[in-house]
Amino acid sequence: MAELERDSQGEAKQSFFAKQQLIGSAKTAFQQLSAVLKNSTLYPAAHPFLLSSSEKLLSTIEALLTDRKEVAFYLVAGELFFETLSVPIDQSLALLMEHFTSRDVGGVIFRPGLTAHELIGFASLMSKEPAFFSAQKDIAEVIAKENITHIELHRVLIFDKKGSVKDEKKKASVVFMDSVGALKEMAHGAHVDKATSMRKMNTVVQTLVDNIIDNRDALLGLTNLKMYDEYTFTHSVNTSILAVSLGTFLSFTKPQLAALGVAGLMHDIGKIGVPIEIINKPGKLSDDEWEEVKRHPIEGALILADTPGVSKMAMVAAFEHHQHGDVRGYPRIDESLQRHPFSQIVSIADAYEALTAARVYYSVQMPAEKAIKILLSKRGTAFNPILVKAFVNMIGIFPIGTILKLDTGEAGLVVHQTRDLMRPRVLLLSKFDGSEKESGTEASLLETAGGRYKRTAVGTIDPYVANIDIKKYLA
Amino acid sequence: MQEEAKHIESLSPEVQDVMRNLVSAIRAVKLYPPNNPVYSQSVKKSYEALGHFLETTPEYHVGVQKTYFSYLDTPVGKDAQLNRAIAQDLFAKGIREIVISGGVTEDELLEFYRALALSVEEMAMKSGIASILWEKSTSHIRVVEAGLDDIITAKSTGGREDDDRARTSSGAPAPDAVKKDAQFSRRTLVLGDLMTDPAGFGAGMVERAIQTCAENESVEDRLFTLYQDAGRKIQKDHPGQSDALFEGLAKSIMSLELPYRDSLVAGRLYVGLDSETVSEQKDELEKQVPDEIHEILAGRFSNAWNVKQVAELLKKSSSKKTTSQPPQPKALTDLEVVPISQDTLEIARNMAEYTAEEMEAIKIMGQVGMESDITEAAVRTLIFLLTLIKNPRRSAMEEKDFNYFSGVVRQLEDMLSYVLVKKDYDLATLIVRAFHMPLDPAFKPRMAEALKKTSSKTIIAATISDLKGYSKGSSEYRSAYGYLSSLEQEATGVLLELMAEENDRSTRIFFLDLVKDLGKNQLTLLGEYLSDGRWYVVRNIVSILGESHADQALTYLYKVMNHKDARIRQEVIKGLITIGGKKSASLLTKFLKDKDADTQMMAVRGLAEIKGIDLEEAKPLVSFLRERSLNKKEQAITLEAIRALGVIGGPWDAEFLKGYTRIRWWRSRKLQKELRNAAIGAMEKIARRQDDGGTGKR
Repeated sequence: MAELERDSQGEAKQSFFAKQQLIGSAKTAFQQLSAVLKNSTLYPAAHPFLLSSSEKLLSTIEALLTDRKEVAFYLVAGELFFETLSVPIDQSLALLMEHFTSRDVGGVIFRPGLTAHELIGFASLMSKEPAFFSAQKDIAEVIAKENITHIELHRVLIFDKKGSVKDEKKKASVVFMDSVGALKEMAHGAHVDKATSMRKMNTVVQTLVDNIIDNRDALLGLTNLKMYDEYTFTHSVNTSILAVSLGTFLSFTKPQLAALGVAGLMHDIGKIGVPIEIINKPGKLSDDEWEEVKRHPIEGALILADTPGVSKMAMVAAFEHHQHGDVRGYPRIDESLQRHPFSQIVSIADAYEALTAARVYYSVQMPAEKAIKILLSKRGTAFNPILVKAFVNMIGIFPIGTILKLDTGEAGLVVHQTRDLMRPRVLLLSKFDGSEKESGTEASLLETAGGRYKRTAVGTIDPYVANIDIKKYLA
Repeated sequence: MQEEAKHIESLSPEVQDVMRNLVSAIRAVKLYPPNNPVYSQSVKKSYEALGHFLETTPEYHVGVQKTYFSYLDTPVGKDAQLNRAIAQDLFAKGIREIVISGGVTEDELLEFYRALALSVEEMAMKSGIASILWEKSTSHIRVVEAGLDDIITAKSTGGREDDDRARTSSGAPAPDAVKKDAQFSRRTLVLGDLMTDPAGFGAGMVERAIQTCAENESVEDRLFTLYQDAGRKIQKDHPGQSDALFEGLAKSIMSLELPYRDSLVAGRLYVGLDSETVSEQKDELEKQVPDEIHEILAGRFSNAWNVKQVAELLKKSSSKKTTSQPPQPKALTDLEVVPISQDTLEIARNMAEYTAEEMEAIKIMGQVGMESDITEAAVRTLIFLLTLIKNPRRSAMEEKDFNYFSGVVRQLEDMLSYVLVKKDYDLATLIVRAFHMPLDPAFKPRMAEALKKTSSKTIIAATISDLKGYSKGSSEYRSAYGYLSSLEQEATGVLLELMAEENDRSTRIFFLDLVKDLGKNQLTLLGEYLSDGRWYVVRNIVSILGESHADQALTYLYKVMNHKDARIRQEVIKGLITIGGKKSASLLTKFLKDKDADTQMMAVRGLAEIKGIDLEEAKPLVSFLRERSLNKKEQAITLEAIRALGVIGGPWDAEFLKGYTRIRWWRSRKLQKELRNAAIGAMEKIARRQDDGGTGKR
């Protein structure tokens, strides 16, 4: 357990850049493994082609082994993982994965001391028919008989994903509501005992960060629920979750994430400084009133500047979150000054939340897909293009909570993103009454059969139009 | 529970039989087509049962509860699943009581059952069940509906005794009206109460909402519907008193318990308004992200609504159509699917890979959010805030503005201390420069206070100590030096103090060099230190004034020309020589009369060195020479003065110098020779200059 914790901390420390490089190397290794398996079916063991391909694979594995004890690949629900990193797969790799899973192999681990001959022996073993494997009681014994001592095979991993997701979600919803509560307290008691409120806020954000690091999906799912009654506050909590999620996606450290979390949570606090009669006006705002609302970044920064215990980043983000690079940005300041990257992240999260929040009104549908297109259209002007790209990769084109119509005629609720933006993992829906959350089946759109995807998304279904209460699945 | 059972037992089998038959008939007409025998048989059976009952009792009362029926107060067939579904359906349709009176015909009953079988939407289209029954002339069947149709507009004193008027149906007054009032206390709400007792009206509405909400309906939703109904009634029946009544309605909402009030105003009234606004501005949404409506929506931290706002919202809300039952999910095949566009597929493809440049940018981004960059961003933000505190839309300065300003300045002060500890002099310079920004005069005292704090002796001493440690010209040196420069007068003052207190000579020289540089534009400040009692302080100031090369410095040097300490006077001479020019030369000649010989000597030499002197200044020197006696003691200075005259003098001075060429026998020959040689040299110099047309160098 302690080892697992160390590993996870180690992983968190890895930069986004390092992770991407690692994913690239892992993909190469798996492609090379595919070549070795293919060659083993075409050539005899001593053939130079086979030897050459296995040596290439060996060299890649050895490079990966330089800073780890083992090189482990896992095949879970159509997805390929290198350690805990999801590796993008193409058609050829999909076939290889099928090849493994049809032989009940769900994991391959390579250990130091591995030789090219062992790899060839392993390839030869894997070319045996599926029936051979299903007849074996212990796969380890089979591999030992072939004198392959530096490769370990695992059976297909069956894990109770649903159970764990459910547990996390319960926790996540508590964290979510705690955040709403803390923000409410901060806003309503803005002039009393700020220090205490801030202490509470920091604790809440830390818990939020821990939860997102632990299971980003659970909290991202909750951001899809736009509770109107609490919209004022849920908007800020959602912005915070989205910002921290992007931070975890970019492998930020915990202190960075905490600063980002507080910044997201407090970015709109300046609105408590906007006159009540404007905020509560039951009609369209006049130009003057709108100008007053546009002062909220200044008011927010002023409030936070004088609040003890709040990260300075919160003040900066509150001030900068509307300073888009275009003419609409406010307050207007020297354009040559670069906004802090965290402000840019909060800005993207705020905008996405704002766009998708329109879904709260039954009469206006703004699917996430469209919101993403708007963000993309403003790349380089209002938003940092690289951050938008990372954000889209993090949230997905079909974010958690999206209902997809599949080519099989089924409907699936997106519950997890994969490396392929078009192929998330879904919970198959049939009754639409929430019961599938307990008893339904999850399926990855990456799963293949005969080299072809089992399921492919063909369209989206607006839950509001379809009268589906996604709260029953996500809350 | 036991009591309930008792009640059921107390109902006669006849009453129960009628209820059973009625429910069966309602169900049959709803489910079966008219040609189905069950349909007609059920209607007939219910008619017969009713007819039998009504022979002895004038009316049969069917109370519709959420999940069961009752006869007067007593539940009937509560556990029957059949009853449950029908009761739920009727309850959802807003029916609360059915009263069938003697004389009812089979046709009337059939029309009634048919009306009940209509969907909510159909019923709404036909303006409700009461209208349908009225159209079909079913005068022996009366229906009491939910909602505020039974709000009467009598004056508040009229109160609830007018209960009969509350009924939507026509027909005779109900004999058990009093009983009903007990059953549904405050069932009748009087609009007149809105003027006199809005709180009472509100409490009544809540009570009514609790009693009448459907199974899948929250009390808040029910309450909202009731208020909408009340609003409609005001708009329809009392347009003349509309404003006053809506205000009363708003007051009654404001008087509700917090959870009801907030959910009604924020969750129902504003959601309707915002939904409407969003629909109107749908096309605008994409242009501005986040949009105007969103900013308002996400800004309602306040729940301080006023009566006027709530009344306005109620008016808007009452003008809208009511929603029907909560929507049910559609079947999978009926779901509306938005196909995935080619654009989306394209986006997914483009997003998958990162270019090398993007990876590099992400790598750099991974290093932000650290103390240093957050500090820098915070300083930058605070500086911007200094100029943005005053809201340009308000003319007068508010107390809040002063508090904010003070808060921002305090933050900057803290940041300054912090960055100085971190030796980030560039950022420190930025802060100090911000303290010098031109601001509203009202903010100046606080700014001055901040400036004073920034130039504390300890801070400057620490900076100077750092500066000493850096090699001159290095970036660290430049940063620290830049910081001291930004402090302007404050730094100079402290530096002078430090310089005065410093025992170590090399450090003093270091300070002096610094002050010369930093203080060259602060002559007024330096001038103030000339009256200092410590001779070395004054000497240093004089030295700096001289180094300033500014004419303005002469004013201050003049003040100390007669200083009692010769060392200071000599420093003044040095300063005058450095500054140069006619004025300096003129001042310099004054020292020819100094009581101190060394000072006199310096002045004489100075006259030879000083630049920009003209022939006029030679005159004091000639006078000085005339007053010299020939003796060994004064010989050195006389010789120096002759040489100086050679440097600065003209033809008339050469004439004067001729006097030194004659040797008097009665005087010291040696001394006279020295003077003659010096005079000849000086005359030659003058002659050379004259040959050059007066342009030759001295």
